[in-house]
Amino acid sequence: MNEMPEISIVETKNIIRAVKLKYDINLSIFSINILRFKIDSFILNNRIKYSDNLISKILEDKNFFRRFFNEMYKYDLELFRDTDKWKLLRSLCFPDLLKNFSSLKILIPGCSEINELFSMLIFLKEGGYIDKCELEISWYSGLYEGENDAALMKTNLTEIGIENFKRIFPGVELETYFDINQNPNTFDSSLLANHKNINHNYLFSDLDQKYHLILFRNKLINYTAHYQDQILVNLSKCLLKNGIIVFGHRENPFETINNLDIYTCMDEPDRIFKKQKYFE
Amino acid sequence: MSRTEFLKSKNILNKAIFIGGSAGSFKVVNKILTDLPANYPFPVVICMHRLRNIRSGFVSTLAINCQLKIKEAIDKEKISPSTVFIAPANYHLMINHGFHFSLSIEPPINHSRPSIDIMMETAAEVYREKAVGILLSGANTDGAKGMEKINENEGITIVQDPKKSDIPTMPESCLRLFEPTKVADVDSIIKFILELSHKN
Repeated sequence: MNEMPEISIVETKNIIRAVKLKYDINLSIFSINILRFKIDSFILNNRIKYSDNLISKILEDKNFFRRFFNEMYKYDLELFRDTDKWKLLRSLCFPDLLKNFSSLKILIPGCSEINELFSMLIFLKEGGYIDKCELEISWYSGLYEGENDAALMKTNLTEIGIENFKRIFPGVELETYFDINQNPNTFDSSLLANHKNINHNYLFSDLDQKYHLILFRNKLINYTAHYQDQILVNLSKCLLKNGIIVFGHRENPFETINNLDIYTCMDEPDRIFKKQKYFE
Repeated sequence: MSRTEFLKSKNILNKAIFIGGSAGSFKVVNKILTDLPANYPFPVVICMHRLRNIRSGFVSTLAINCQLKIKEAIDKEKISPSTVFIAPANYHLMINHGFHFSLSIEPPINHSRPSIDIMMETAAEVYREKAVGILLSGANTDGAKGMEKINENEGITIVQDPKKSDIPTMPESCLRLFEPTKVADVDSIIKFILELSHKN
């Protein structure tokens, strides 16, 4: 999408209302302008003329609604978005974690873009961490649920993603990890074996407290303040003591983090927090 | 409740300034911020096209001569008076009802993230006639539609004179869409926004 959303806030609220009434799903958890973006993009991509037509289709066709719902969580994230963050993971987070733990369980909750997975797998491999780490990914709203690894292997590398890769790994060839001659580009399938897909909805539930590192970057921003708090509580329950949680560098978890009173801040500009106490 | 009572209850009888720019606009923004006094009452929100991966240095450079508090906006932050907010690199910056920011990583618009259009269109919806949009030099058309929205909602729109802009594309694209409140050089823009605060 490269146009400003045309759909109004009133139309967005009508859609929220319709979805709630028919499917008992609450889209008002999303920050309204972000939801507008998503809905508008969906309308354009599916050649729907008016928001009223969208509402009718949503109400009449459950499969169509499921497609619509999945799209609300999808992002086009470039490979290694925010290279400074990845450098900090390498220089600050992993050394700290490996001081306390001999092996690491890493969680990326609500992954909605394949490049997030690729970035982490490449990072672990290049850092020599791959044999020490178990990576678990939950895909939001069943995205990729039931898909085999072949479906996960494909992406379209963007110029920005390639630039990011070179910035973090100068001297490493992109072809080490991607077959760039194919279109779409294909990721190294052997590396995909180093992750596990799990079923987890971070909005409404937590997991066992077993993770050493949680990467939750640029997902809080999608939600209203109230749901941000709820998510932070759920994720805090999954994190081990001395575990680290990482947010996007312009996100704003501070109030809830401070209220939970179980974290110290490792890096404020980059929103990196270490859990110092057990969650009660 | 009347609109005035509503605005008063939310402490936004004041205007808010929304500045967009790209290539050739940094020095203009710098000059504007240098000339705003420490007690300038309105929030100033600036969206400039920036390199995605360069985070540090941008705000600190602008802060050198700026008497107002200046910072990068963060998600859900309140838009407070007498403060300059800069759209962070690689995020869209939106203005929400409730007078706070929200950020997004939706795809670039007009190849731009942050997008000036997004900032100004959402500002137009929230601030309506209290929005002041200023569009500066730049090499693409980002911002033109946003300014048009501010104009449609009876806000004030100021476009840098294309003849005085380093790169006239951005101002010209705006002028093709509608007639703004003012077309001006930098000094006149500064004079205008200072006078706004005196009138307020």
